[in-house]
Amino acid sequence: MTGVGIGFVVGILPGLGGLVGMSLVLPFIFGMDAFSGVALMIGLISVIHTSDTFPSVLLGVPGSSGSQATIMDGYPMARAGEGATALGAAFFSSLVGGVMGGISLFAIILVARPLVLALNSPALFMLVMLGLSMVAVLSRQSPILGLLAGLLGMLISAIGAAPAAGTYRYSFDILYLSDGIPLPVLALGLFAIPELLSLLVTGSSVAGDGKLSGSIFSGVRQALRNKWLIVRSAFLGTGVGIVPGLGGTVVDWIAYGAAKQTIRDSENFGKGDIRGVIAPESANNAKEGGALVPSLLFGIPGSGTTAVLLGGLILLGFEPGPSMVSTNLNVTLSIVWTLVLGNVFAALLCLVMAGPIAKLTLIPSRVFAPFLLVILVVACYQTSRQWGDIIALGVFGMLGWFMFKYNWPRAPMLIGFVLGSSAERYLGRSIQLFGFEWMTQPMVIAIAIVIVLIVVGLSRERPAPAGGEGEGR
Amino acid sequence: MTDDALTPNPWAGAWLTVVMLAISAAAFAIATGFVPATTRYFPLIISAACILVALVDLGRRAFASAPARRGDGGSMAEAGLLNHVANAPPGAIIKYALWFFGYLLVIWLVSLVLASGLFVAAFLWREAKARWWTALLSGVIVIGLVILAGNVFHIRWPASLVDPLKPLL
Repeated sequence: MTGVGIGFVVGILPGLGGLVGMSLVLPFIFGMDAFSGVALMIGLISVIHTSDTFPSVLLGVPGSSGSQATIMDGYPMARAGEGATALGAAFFSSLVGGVMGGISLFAIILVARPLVLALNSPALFMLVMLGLSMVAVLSRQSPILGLLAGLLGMLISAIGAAPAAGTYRYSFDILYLSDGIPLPVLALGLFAIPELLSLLVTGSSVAGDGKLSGSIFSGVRQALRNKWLIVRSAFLGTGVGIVPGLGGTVVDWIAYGAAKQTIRDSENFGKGDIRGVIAPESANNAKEGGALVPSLLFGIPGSGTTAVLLGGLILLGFEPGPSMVSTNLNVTLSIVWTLVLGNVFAALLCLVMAGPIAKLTLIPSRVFAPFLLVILVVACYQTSRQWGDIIALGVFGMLGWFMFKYNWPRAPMLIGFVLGSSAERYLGRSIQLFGFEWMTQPMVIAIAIVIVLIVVGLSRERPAPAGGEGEGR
Repeated sequence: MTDDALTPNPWAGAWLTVVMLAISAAAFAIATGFVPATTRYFPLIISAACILVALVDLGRRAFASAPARRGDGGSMAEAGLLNHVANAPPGAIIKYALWFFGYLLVIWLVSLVLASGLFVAAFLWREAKARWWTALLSGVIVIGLVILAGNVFHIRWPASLVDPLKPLL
């Protein structure tokens, strides 16, 4: 429960994520008994991707890296006074996704070894390409600008140390740039600052006309109506989570894109469609179960959060690896059930808090804007604790503002940034290991076909007419 | 409303594409100097693609309908291609941008902790028309919360101009 409580607060604060939360509790793990320590860490992980929905929906600010796609439809719903409905649907989807992720972890971990080992560098590169194809999904109204934004995101990801080499690229001898641009700084700059400026300029509250319609329960009802979408997204989230180094930051986009592609009447996606909230929220909670598979089985951390978790397990005296499904199976089972219970507690806590917190959307922007800006600057600064974080927030805030003003899709830039370094790393390894013959591998061809089908499917569809709040923005 | 008025102005925001083109070209030029060669392929390919796509975008704008090129920015908003913010008076945008950058400047001058309190108090008093004591109290609370956050997260706040004066205080 302590882990759930800390995770709840960390998730609500924009820009802070699992890594910060885990770093906070890690010092307290030392000396704890094994099961309490595991419960503290897993409880925290399980709640962060539930409570991070609050800022994404209510403020249009990513609560953490896993809740970026929720903004696309959650925030327009909040602007229409339906913040409580969006939150209700999001938390219920998170609950189901999280529980399914935990159960999937239990079911998969004993048989996942051959699956994870089958994913070599070419397959991982193609999975990254699959993630990048979401750029096409998110920028259908302005595909050229979307593509350009995605490529620029990849270019920004090239700043800093090159993979497997001692070369610093585009760092201009500035120490801050040698580590690359941190994801929270880019995300907050691109999304939070423009939204804040927009609210101030219009002088309204987030909910616009000052009324809240809908309720938490109407959100839960709508989520129940889309139960198969929740289930599909949860399986997708678990599957993507299993892939080391891919899931953490992109699973919500993949789930969002997949939902948009596979369900009918998706023209309202990006304008406040509840299904655009349900899919990423179910997937990003389910992903945690999947991400624990390579972490526990091979000691491969899929994200910064799981890297700290592995550190915590080692502190508690457990060596991640095959022993987690043999001699330490009881610890693994404890992790599974803590994950399931943690998700249940997290969802209940968030559902209880959602009503009062949704009322924040009624506060006039000129009252809450200064507080929010202080939170953004503090959250941004703690990313790498250098002046560069604050300057970069200003720079990307300006860029985000102009992209917002001229209807450039901003989400593709974030996806390009997130996947750029992985794309380079896996492509480099593929060429090193297989030359150009990596392209003839069956799994590569299979994933390529899926990507082509997505892009061709999109090009055959007629884009929806442009609206005030265009998709992918 | 005429058809011309409804046609979006294809050159609205074109300068942003031009800036991106310039950045991509600079990135391409810089990437040619990266050693070893393996570190330059990715930025070269991506920046070249950026240049190509930016040129395609400019070409698309150039070949868009001629009457629209003479249109004004407002017509684009009427066509629904620009959001409501595009029609906001530039003065309002500049004012709030100045608040934002002013806050960053004050952080540099007097430290993040103090600047946050000052910013919240000043903004609430000036923009939200809050009572002076409400604004002041809010500023003090924010200072307390920022100090608390610093202690909880073990954050050393960014250096400011007044830092050397701290031992004198």
